[in-house]
Amino acid sequence: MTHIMVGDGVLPWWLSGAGILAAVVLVTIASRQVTRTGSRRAIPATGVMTALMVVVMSIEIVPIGYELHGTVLAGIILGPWFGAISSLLFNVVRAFLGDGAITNIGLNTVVTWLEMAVGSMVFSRLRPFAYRGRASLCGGIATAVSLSLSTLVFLAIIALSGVEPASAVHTGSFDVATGTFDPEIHSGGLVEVHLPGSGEHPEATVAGLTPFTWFAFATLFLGALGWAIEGLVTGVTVGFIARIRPGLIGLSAGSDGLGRPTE
Amino acid sequence: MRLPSVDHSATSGSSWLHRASISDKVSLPLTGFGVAAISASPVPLVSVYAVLMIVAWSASLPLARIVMATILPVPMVGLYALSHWQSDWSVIAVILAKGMVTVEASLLLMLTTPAPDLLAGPTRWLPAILSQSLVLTYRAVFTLWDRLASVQRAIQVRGGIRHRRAHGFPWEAYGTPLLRLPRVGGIIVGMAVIRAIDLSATYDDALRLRGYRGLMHPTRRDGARRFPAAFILWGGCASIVGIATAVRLMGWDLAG
Repeated sequence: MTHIMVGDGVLPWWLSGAGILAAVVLVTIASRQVTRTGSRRAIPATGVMTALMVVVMSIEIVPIGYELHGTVLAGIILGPWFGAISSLLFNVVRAFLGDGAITNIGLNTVVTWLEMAVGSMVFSRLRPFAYRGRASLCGGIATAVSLSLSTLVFLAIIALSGVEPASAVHTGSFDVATGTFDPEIHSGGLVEVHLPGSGEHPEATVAGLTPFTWFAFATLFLGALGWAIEGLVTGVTVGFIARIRPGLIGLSAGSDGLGRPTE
Repeated sequence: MRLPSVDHSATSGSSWLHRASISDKVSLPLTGFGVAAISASPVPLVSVYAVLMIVAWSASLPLARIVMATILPVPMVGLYALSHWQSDWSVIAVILAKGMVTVEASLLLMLTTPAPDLLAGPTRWLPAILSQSLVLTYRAVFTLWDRLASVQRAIQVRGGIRHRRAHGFPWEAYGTPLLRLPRVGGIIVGMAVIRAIDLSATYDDALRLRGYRGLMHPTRRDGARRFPAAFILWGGCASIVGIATAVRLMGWDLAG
């Protein structure tokens, strides 16, 4: 499970704001979709899957700093639209009980939803195999694909958090008299704007690599171990549900997925 | 922090902070959020952390648990901080302290406010589908905890997680090998999910039959606001955020 675990006021405001905006748009569309389809019966399942993520959140695999969350399982059971609602609720609860970062709820909602939506989509593509007794494998593959993709998105967000858009687009205030740009348009106080390359801190490197590159390597390495564990648990869970209550994950009992009855 | 223990603290306490109105206690996360957003030096953040700890102590809250809960995100926040390493330890300290202060401030609200009071507001202004899911989420957490706790006990009485036969049990306990744990875990989660969804659907039906229309009512009216608590909380919030803003604007480098 990937989420941005930093306090308020650490990420740039434009990034947190963009995340909140994206989450509002996502949840609005999702609310309309689920209201239109009228599938009220999925609300208890949404509550349960959100609660499952809250409960599993407290299980951390300490040596690799990885938290299991069951997001892909939730995505497979709920689908992408109820998944968006579940994602928002989960991140609100997590902000108040775990990470405290209220301003990151938007970004985390989008990343968590991505895990759910991709997991749901991959599993639905693999459904014909799931009908042939390979539900566990399909669940595991959906989990691995979904988590690896969301980790890349997570790394992209972290990389973006080091960018100050002002430094990329501002060239300073234009001085009509001289026809040049004044480089120091704002400095000090709560707002600081720098010119490209005028950063006060030149980027440090360790063994020739930037700290972010090391961070990306560490995240991908430790994350891969976590994906394997989460993929295994999700796969077994999906396999179990496929045997006991196949309708819950979109498999109908007594069918091979192509409308033909099984023996 | 686990929701059942948070819920227990919120409903069983009787301190001044427990009795304070939720509209006053909202100032706690606002204080944490405000100071974290404004501060660029570790000293104001550490000071606010200490002040919030005094508030927690005055409300007889479990200090050790709060400290643990604020420390738990440190490894992940620390990794993020290191990814932005600029040969300046104070930057790392600020990023870590911001995380700890915001967690602490949110927990103070959660540990002193019963869930119906917390949910009453959101159920009024959130879309119905969100508010109903939120209420059922709260209920389902306890159902799942019960299921998982009983399975945990079952694993323990079977000898825990080990490869060899466990001794010291009055029965033959062979344990659960570590390699079998993901499989066992998957089955446990599957059983818990199916059971919890069934229970939640029944619970939802029962609520609707009894006239539930998606609104939660607080355990007490907001008019029961007590003057000293309101004054302390909002006054403290304004003072702390004001001081943090002044420190930032004046450019005082309190770290040295």
